[in-house]
Amino acid sequence: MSPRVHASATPGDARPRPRWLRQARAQARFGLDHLLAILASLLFVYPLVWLLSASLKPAWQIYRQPLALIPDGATAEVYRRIFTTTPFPTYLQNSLVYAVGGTLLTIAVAMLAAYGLSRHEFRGKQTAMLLILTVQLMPALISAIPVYILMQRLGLFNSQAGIVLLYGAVSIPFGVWVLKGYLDTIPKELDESAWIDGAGKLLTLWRILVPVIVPGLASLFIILFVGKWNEFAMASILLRDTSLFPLTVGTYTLLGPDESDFRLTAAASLINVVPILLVFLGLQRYLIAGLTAGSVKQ
Amino acid sequence: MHPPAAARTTGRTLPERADRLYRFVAGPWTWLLPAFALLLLFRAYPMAHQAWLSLTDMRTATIGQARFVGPDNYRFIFTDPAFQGSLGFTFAFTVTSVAASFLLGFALALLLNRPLRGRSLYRTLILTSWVISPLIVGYMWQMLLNESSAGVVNGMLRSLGVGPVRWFSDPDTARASVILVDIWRSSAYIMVFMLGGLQTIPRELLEAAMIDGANAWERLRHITLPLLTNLITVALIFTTIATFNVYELIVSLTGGGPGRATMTIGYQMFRTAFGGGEVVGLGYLGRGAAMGMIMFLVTFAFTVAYLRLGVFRRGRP
Repeated sequence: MSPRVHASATPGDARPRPRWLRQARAQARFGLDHLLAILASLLFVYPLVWLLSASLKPAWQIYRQPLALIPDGATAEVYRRIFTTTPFPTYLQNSLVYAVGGTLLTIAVAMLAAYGLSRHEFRGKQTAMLLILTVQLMPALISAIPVYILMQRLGLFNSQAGIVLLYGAVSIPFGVWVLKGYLDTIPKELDESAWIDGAGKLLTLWRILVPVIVPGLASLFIILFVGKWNEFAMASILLRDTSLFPLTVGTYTLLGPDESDFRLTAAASLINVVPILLVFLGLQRYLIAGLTAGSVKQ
Repeated sequence: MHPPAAARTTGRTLPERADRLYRFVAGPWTWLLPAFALLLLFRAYPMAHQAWLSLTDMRTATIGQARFVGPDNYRFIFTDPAFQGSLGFTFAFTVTSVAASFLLGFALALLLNRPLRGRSLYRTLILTSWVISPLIVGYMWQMLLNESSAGVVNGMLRSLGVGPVRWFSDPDTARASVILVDIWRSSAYIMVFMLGGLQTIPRELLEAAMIDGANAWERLRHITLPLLTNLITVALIFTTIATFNVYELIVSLTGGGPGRATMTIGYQMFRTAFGGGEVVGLGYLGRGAAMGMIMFLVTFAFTVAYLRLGVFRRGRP
């Protein structure tokens, strides 16, 4: 910083400015903030709006008026073509199975482990937590090749069960970490009172603790769901039958590395995006809570 | 007297030891068992297996009957200009993209941390970019940056009297395109992450500094940044790991081209192992595993850095 800027900020130098000037500056600042925020939002939302527009435009308009956002005679013809001539309905269904199945598997298994870690002291607990943390940051992609071989050997290659198991397994460390964080905030007296009433630990977990951490479960659900819905790399090497493809792999099968039909690419992309966007808009409060959990709890 | 308290707690008798063993076996660890079984099978074992695979000549046609070849795969890839190229690009891409995403993401977080009406709407709009699959982000920007007359970005530039820019056909520009699109994708996550941190800074602290005459830059420099050091490091580590291992974005955005200009290690690994046409068994699994090991080692280094931040001792991320 230049010394001049510094000097003007020192208290001794600060001559009281007239009230109107301060107000004007505040107004300008306020306007500038909004302007910047709107520009930033446009940068991130415009591509999606354009995608929608491109998928509805008639073919001639794509090349003649690339910037026009309003289709000149909107047509859903490409969507009709995709849904009637390609297995996209099956892809959609598979994506849902993989995303929901994998997410629920992670949550169930991680919930048990988080309970074990949050409510017990035992030898090896520190090591267990260290192991979980170490795996947490490793993207599944890194071990794509050995997982491909493993799936062949387990007979899970090219099967829905294989994908659900893998999707469920890879996010367990993250799930344990998030859920343990939530469980730790709940006083132990709550479950102890349930034991006195004769409930076992599993019952206590299910009846007493799960209802209390529903917001935590919702955050975890949406974060995992987004990741699994969008997954492409592992599914692309572990599945061979078209009838088992999720949307991402199906889209790649349809479009390849560079499809030149913009309307087709736009429509296929949008079919991938719309469901996840709806889930996001519905649960975004929890998504933001989950994403910031790491930061706020520091 | 009945059993002295000391004997009961140290558990020297056989039944007491058995009880402790039982509690150890059927106690806390049973809760962890399903999680650890799945992690062992699908995470730990493959990672260990990969170390072995990288020393064999396994191909997709010869799964299970590979020959031990020692460090041949490593020797091959490190002398292969194509791999050297992707190694260089991956590092350059990671450094540039992470630095720029962080600056943009943090700037957005600072902006949205101001008292701004409708800021949660802005946040939602910006975060949509993070919710979209990288594969689809690639397709989307491949169209937006397209060099044909249908390309929107060149269309906009043309109306400003600039361009047309050869976003994909020129190697250097193509590298820049990949970085730009990745920044677009990563900064929203950083924004949300840092916004969470900014909101934990007590308002009184900043107001007190303001009364003392500190300007915005000084408040950022001397209050906000020091308080968020740890969090910034975490954000940088998370983003670095994700960026370094990029694959899906490249598949749909450039396909590694033009030539090999935008190939990353991850892309190269998939190409080597599965690109030769899996059905005819041409994929070099051993060689790909060696690339996987390099990705693993770099990621592991960042994981260690993350653990050393003391995340573990505090018991919370």
